[in-house]
Amino acid sequence: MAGLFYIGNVQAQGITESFEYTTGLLEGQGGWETPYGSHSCWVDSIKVFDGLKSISVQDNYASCSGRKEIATTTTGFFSIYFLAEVKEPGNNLLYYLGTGPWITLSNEQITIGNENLVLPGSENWSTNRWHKIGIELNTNEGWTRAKFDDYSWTATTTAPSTPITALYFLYENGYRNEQDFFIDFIQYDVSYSDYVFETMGLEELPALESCEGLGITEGFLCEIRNFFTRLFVPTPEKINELKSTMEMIKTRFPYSYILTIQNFFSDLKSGIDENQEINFSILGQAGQVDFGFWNSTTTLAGGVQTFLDIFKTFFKFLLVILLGLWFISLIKRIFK
Amino acid sequence: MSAGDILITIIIWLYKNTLLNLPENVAGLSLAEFESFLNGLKANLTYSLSGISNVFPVDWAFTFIGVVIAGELIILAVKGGIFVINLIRGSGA
Repeated sequence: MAGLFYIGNVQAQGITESFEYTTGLLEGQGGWETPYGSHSCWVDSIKVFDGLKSISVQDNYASCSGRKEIATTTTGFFSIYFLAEVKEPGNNLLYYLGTGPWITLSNEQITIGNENLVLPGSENWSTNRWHKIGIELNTNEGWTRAKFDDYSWTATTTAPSTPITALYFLYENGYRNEQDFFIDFIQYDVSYSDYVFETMGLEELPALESCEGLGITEGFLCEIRNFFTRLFVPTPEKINELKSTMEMIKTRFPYSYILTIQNFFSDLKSGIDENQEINFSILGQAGQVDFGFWNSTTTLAGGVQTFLDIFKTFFKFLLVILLGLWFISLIKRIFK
Repeated sequence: MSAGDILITIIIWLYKNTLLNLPENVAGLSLAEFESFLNGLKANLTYSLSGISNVFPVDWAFTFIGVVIAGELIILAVKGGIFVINLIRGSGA
């Protein structure tokens, strides 16, 4: 299966959108427009990261895009998940609103914007697993930045100052080769700001009051309050130092080993491809296992069911029985 | 420097002189070796599980393994606690 591109779940200002639409063109469903490459944006359930549906983009087309109006805002936190089965230099993923940021996927790294800021950790991006790109944008202050998976943010780079009016994505296949590329699960939240948290340490750090223009008594009380604020409230720099020191534990045993095991299981889970074909070679003759028999049907319990469903249900039943037996043995050992 | 800053300085000092003294690698099995081993295992398992995942509920199997590991760790902790208590009480464990 080559050249599919999926987009799955959007959260906008507390509203979750998971593309649970009718299989077919995205155009016109749920308020989505596809200004570029409308013919290649499909709602489908072939491969999803979250939910039951996603958007697929057929190959042999240059691009696929989606655009949806949102309430005008000037800040936002966006994230998008993608999976590539083949690495191709020159593929671009424009994600968000208006005129940038522009994410470029190359064989070795991922960059953002015209300055080509390299996303820290992006040299670890690999095929056949889901990765996340997070983008934070503040058009009031004119900056944006990005991060890859759970690695650190890039430095901030210049962002357009125009307010955000629409959620927007665009994927371009730079070389127009056949390839498997998937995107799924987009999050959008205008109220969240990692940058504010990191800069200030606490989002609701008590601020000093302005005592100008107050009477003698009110001014005195105001100064007293500010005195205690200065006396007890830690500075943002100190809180940041604490945070960065706490982060260092991730490099120490056993935390680092536990993190590695966690990543192992999450990668394993996301790397499993139910549509994988099994190739074999016998006496020089290559072939593929034909799983067509799973779709054969039979009547069971008064209903027509496929062998696939029957066996899957059987294995689930078996696992539940095993879990029950293990649980009984656990109880026995506790009271032994 | 506020009282909050002083408190944080103390916490950082304690943190650096205790938990951050833990080694980055275990003797005999460095983190790089461990990651390399897991990456190899992951590649094999991903391929193998992909082959059976359309008929075998891999998600359920992972959940099953997770529950079993958690349960076994809990019983180990409980038994260990009882053992230590018995040692302290002098009952001969």
